[in-house]
Amino acid sequence: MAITESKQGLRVSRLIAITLLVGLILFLVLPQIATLLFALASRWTNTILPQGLTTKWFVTTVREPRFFLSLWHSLLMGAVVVVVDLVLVVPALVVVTVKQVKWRFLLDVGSLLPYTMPGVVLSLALIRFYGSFFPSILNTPWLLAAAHSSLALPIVYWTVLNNLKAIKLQDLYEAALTCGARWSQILRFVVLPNIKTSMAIATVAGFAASFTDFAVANFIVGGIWLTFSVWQGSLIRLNSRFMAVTSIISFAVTIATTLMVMNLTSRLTRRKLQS
Amino acid sequence: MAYLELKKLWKRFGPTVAVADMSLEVSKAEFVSLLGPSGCGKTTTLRLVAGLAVADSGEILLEGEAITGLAVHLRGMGMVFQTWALFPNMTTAQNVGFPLRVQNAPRQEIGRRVAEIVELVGLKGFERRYPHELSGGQQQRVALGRALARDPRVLLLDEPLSALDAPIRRSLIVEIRRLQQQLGITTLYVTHDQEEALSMSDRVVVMNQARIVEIGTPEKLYHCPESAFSASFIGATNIFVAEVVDEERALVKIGSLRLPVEGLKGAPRGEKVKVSVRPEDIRVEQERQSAAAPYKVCARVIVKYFLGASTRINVACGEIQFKVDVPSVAAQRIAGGEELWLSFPSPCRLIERAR
Repeated sequence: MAITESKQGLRVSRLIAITLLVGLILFLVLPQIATLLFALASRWTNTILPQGLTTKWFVTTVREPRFFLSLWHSLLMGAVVVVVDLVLVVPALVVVTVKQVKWRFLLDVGSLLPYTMPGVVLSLALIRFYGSFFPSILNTPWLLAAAHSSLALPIVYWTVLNNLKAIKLQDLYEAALTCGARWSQILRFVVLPNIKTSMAIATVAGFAASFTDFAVANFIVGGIWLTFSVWQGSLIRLNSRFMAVTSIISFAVTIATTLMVMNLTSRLTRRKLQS
Repeated sequence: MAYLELKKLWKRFGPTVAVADMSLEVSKAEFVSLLGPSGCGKTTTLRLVAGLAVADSGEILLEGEAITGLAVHLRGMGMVFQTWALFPNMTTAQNVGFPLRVQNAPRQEIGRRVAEIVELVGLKGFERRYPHELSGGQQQRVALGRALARDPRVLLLDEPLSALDAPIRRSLIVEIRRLQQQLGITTLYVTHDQEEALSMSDRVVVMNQARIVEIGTPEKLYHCPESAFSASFIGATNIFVAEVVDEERALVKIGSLRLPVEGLKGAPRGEKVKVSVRPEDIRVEQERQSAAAPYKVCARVIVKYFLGASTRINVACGEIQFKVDVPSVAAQRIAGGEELWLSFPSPCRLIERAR
């Protein structure tokens, strides 16, 4: 009797788990599928599914001269932002972690600041600051890079920090020192290999934050140095199908970046294993 | 000349004194343990020697050369940490070979040395395993192997066995001592476990509240401790405040009991002294017999508890309580509340003169 009841209980809990999982997947994937269908629909008015499929919206979008230019700008900006943030964050975090600097909390608080204000306010602040001290970089991609780096910094910071805590970096650092390793060797052989997963996650998330930003980019560079999101925004007035197509392309770029970074990470791991 | 010498080392963390006036000389190939309770400064001392902490004052000499200000990676020490701190991205072989790799040793040389060390610490066949694929004892061996890889000038071990269960710990105690003697490495070992310290060391440094309390061989510290702290920290003991009653025969009075004390000469009658007697040095008889030992007292059993080969019995003689160790076979015949006769075949030890 008791065994039957516990079996039933297990079945119910498994059913709940599967339902929740399927629900989550649908919640995440359905909007993308709907957008894709909309981008491919030749006509879609009063039916559940499109009445016909076509690639003409894709072809038209890709033939648009500003497509590749804005895509290139956004890819470049995403890459610059990731590099800047990783170069700023990783060494700084390693230093404050191994030296157990007591005021690390200032970094923690500072890294959250970009989240506490809307993008427009952040842009305005940056424009005012750089306008006063470095007016030459106003309305340039350099200022956008600075703004996007600030936006993506919390993502990179917290992802890497959690990884550093998880690997107990302080212990590893001291162990490496007593093995005779110098700072550069510790960074190369111990720190970076052990945080490569979080760096990969930070790369994807930081890149996506920059790539998908509209508000800050529109405010800082607008049409002067067109990014993909800004161009995408300008398409709303033309045809909502273009908007759907660019959303799918944007999604595809993010997925491609993720796959590329994952592939690179696993290749590095394999190479290490072979050596 | 001492191989490793610590001279008047002081280390403070804010208002807390972690190491106070620490002076110690260690000979080449000697195994010295720093033994004491948590927070007594033993790990800080080890970190000062390793260079992971900087002394506020004092000097550290290695082979007569001052290394106090020398960077950690240039000191040539090998260290095993409490958490082992193995590099999770490296296999056993890579962990062990790491100290050689960072010295840019030739690949062949690294391979040869790693094979040698892996064999030495009993990890043959585990070379390609990652730390998370090894048991606690095996991880400890990897940490030890890594510390030995580049022939360290001094091997520093910071409570390396504290996270292991008792059987593995016991086997590793033997293993570490064997390796240390085989390789003749000067070793500083930090522990709060007296069993580890006594069974491995040539000498033990007993520490308390940032200071050295006593230094001696395990036998000397166990049998003839010079302080109440050492006596109570190392092994179980009975410590009493007694009054000198007979200067000639070196007798003291503990309650109604009169006992001879070793090393009491010169103490005037009426002086208060602290004496100790180990539980295994007290004999127990269930009936009074005309035994050779003249100093006997009747006591009542309060509680007894099984320790394996022996059983500890707490007995009360008036207001005085004793811990007594009896072979477990004999202890089976002793019941709670029973009256026993205690005899003291050897004199008590004087550990402190009351001030």
